Amino acid sequence: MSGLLAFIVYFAAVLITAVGMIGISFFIGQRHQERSTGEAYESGICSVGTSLLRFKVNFYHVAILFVILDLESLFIFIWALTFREAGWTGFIVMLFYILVLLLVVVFFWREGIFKINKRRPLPLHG
Amino acid sequence: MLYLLLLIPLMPLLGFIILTFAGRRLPQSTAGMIGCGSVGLAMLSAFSLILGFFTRHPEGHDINQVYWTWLRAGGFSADFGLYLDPLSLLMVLVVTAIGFLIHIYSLGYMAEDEGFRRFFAYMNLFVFSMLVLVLADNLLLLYLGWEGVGLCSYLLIGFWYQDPANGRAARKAFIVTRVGDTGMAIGLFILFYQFGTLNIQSILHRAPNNWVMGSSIAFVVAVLLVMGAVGKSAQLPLQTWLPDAMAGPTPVSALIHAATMVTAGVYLIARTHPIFLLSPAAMHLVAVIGTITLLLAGFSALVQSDIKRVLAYSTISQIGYMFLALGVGAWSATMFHFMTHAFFKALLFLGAGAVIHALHHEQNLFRMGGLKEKLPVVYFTFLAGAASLSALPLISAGFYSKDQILWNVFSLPQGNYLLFAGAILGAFLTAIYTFRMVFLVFWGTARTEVSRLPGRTMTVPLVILAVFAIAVGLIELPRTMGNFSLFGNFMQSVFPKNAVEHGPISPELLVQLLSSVVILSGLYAAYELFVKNPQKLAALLSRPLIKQIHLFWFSGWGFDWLYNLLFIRPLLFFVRINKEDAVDKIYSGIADISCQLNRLLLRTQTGRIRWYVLASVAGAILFLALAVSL
Amino acid sequence: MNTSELFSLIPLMMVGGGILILIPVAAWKRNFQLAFAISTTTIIFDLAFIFIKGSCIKVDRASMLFKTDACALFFIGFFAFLALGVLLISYEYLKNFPGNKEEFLILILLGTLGGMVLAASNHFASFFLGLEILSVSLYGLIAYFGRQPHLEAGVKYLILASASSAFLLFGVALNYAQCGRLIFSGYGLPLIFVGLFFKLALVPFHLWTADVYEGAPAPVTAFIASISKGAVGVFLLRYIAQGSMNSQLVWITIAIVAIASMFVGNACALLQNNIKRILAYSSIAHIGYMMVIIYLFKNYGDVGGIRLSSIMFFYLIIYTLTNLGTFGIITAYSRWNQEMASLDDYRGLYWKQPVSAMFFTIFLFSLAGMPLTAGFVGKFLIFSAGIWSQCWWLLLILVVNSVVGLYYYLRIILTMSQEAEGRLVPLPVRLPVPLLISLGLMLSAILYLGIRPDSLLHWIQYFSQSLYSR
Repeated sequence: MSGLLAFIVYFAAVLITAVGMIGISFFIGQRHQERSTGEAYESGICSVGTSLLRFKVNFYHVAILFVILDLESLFIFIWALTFREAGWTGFIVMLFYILVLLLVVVFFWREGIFKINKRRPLPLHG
Repeated sequence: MLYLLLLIPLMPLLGFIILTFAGRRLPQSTAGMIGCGSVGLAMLSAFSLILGFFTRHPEGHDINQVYWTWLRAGGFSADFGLYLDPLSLLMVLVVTAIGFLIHIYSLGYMAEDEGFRRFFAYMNLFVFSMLVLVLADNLLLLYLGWEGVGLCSYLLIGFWYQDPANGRAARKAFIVTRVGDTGMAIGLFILFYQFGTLNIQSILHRAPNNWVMGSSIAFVVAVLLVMGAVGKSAQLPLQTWLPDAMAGPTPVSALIHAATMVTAGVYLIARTHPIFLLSPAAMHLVAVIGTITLLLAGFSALVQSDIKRVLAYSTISQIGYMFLALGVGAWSATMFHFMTHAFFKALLFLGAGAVIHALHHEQNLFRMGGLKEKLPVVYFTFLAGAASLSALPLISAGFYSKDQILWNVFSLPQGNYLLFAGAILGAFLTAIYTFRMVFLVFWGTARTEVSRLPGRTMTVPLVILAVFAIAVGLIELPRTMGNFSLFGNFMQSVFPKNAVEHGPISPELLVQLLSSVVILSGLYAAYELFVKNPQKLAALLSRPLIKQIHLFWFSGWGFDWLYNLLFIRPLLFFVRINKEDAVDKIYSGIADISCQLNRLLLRTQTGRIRWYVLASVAGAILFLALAVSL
Repeated sequence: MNTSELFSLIPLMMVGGGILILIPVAAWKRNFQLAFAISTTTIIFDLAFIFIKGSCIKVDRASMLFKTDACALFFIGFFAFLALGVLLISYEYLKNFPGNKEEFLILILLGTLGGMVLAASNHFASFFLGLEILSVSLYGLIAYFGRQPHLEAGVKYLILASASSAFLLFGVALNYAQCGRLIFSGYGLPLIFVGLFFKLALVPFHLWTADVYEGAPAPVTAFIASISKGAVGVFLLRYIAQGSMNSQLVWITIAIVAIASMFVGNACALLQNNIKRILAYSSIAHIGYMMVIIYLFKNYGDVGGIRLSSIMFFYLIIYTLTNLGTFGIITAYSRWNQEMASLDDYRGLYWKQPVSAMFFTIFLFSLAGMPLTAGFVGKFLIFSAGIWSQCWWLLLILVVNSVVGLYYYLRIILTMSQEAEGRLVPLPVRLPVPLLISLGLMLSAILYLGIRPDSLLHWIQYFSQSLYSR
């Protein structure tokens, strides 16, 4: 049961800390609203327009593809570190791995993901 | 061999499934072929089984085949297993053979009915259930078949459901038999509780060792089983449903309410006879029930005006004979009478159906008449059935079987003179009402025009059944006439031997002579009253007392009225004062709590992800709290 | 890794191979019939391989990551079978969809692969990979048709499943911290339970179920209810059968969760008017019943464990089969842009389409546990296990809940038999053939197992032993 007590104390401590930090600054922090309160500080640049811009989804496609393939290539690095130990088996496995990646890239290529300028209807029908 | 056995109930089931699912798309002829063919194949399997039974098992070894285990838990195990011994083989043969003939007959009888496919589907389901009932090797399967035939009976009595009266009759049959089924179910529970197994044979083997002769537990179980039996077999006090069950199509009456299903009670008692042997009091009860029923039903049959109701009461009465025979321990005689009865009663019903069919659904005896010339085939076959039913000496199968019962009642130690006198009186009544029917329907002047003649599909089964109704008695001849005992030998492995078979021959002859005289005089009385001097009867009926009795018998001894007064009214009264049922409170309480819980819990379904995540996190914290606290 | 190890992984690799074939096919020339043929053939080959060559697989530990024992093989085959069912019911549904269809098949195969990996996993790495393959393909599948309810359900599932995966990963990390390896052990258990229970939709992690079931397209719901639930269930049992959780905590947690799930599931389903939601809640209750079996593991060692695991496996199998059938019926009447999930849509189905109404009735009977359906046998086995363990209070709760559960199943059946007041089921007059095949498979399986459960139980008992042969 002492474990439970400790848990409750811990949980309460977390709660108090979190609530306390927000609460204290809420109560004793100063509040003022003047002309330059919301402006960028020192060498910051004043923003122009709204941040809720509509970008083409194709940018996102390319970006996410980049991230994914980037991550996948990490495995190749790991293989490269153990190149000698992995031997021919490792080599064949890695060839297969790259082949799969290639297949995916071909798929996206055929889908026209890389043609950022091309206007194509989304496959989804809302 | 073993899979042949499985094939017997499987074929009708297959027929039922096909007809149910594809029935509407099949042409009528194909549907009829499936309906008849499935039962026909079952019959062929049964015939090949009996051949195998005689050749390979000359001493009549039983086959107990467990195909698979359905459920098993601890010591409890529910198997799907079939048990074949001479008793169930006989039942199977009768059910499939007569069932097949009646299916063929129905091809003609139901040809113009809209529900043709539905009819055959139900009939196949019935045959399946009946076969399961008689072949079951355990109580569970037996109960399945038992309830299955009850269900089919319900469906088929109410087959023409557009008429509310038929629906009422169907419900009545279902509810009345349910009263008996409840008792039987309790009996089966006790059996399972006492022996810890569902297997019928092992229960029956163990019963004599576990229970003392005449012990109260044996009595209680036997009486509970009798309750089920009297319900299904329409014996006193649960006989009231059968006359009303005639609302169904005539082939149904022939198959279910005469030849097969109503004898399920007889089968049940015969199957569990070791338990009854342990309780002489229960046996005596069965005998008394049988005797009283056969007399009451005989008197009622005398005065009915509807041809099918006459036959219904005669069925009750004949099953009364079987119960009487069971009660005195004449096991083999019971089954023999069951077999002959199945043939001639099916024949009579089908003959009556042919008449009804020909007269455009006229069922009133007094509007029939003079059909002798117009429907000769029906007449002669009906005559054969009537001879068998009234047990005309020597020339009918019914004589041999009924004689055996009479002789056994007379001679066996469990029988007594009172029972014997009742049985003799019943034979007299049987002769009168049977030939009253024959004379009214076929003799005299025509009162309704014949609108259509029965076709080949209807007459052929009639002829076959007529041959059997006359000749099937020859497989078991009494000692006074040849002493030929094929049937008795066939059955001997199932039932214990009776002691009297080596006594002097003269009393048996005496009993036969007595019964012959009684039956012939009954025949003469019918001739006198209904053909020669009908005015005498009319004069007799005009007397007020006789008229009252006539009415009383006509209404089946007022049992419906009595039950209405004794059970239905009080029940309705209690229902009315107990509208806000106290017991129901528990259930409605559960329902209320559930609804409240429902309302409460649906509040948690906000559709907001943050709330859902919060719940998950709360759960995780709970788990962690549990983890650290223990 | 030697050839025999490789050989034992063929059932998994075949599905992966099918996906690799499908991708270039979809990229080169879109042809739905071809893609469908490839995916079904893959599954059938996989099934055939397991059926024919399964007994040749001798290695117990295919690699560090997998353990392809009899149990895993059986469930790989079983999931292949379920995937076949899902593919068949979604054929017509997809055919009417104007957009790209091939990726749907790829995702189904991928999800199935995830389920298979889960069933065979013997290591937290493979477990997590399997789980994520399954979940990620589900995100895609749920939102596949891109309508507003699909997207909503997809996003909900995405966020909640990721959150639960985070908990699970933390549990795995604790396990690693304690053992220094990623083999299964009892450390970090509460957090691993959070992840698993979320996937199984147990209280209090059940809140997504109704919304996702309702929002997802019907074939995808079928997939979630059968393969996804089934795979996690199998994994849970295998994990527990490792026997490392002898602390009291596990059992109390499981008991609480089981009881809460039974009550919450049944109570919420009572007055619903949307069949998919009813089935979602009923699935919560059913998993609750399964947790009762898991709770009973508490008192028994290996011998009792074999028996209880076979009961649990049996229940899981029939439950997934039945669910697939039920959602198959719903799929039959749904279109990608219109789900027929309201109870009113099925009013009078008996009079218009008696055959499919009959199918539906039998599936619902099986869920409710009526005799002669497999559901009855499952319930019976649970009850018998409860009686055997003399766990009366849990049994009582189970009985009460089964009775309450009966209500909403019968309510659906009642609605189907009511006269339709001018309301018509507008769509197909006859059901498409692939769907009928799938429904027929499920129906015959349920009825067969309802009449001859021993045939399957025999197998299950056999491979349950392999769970305990350490």
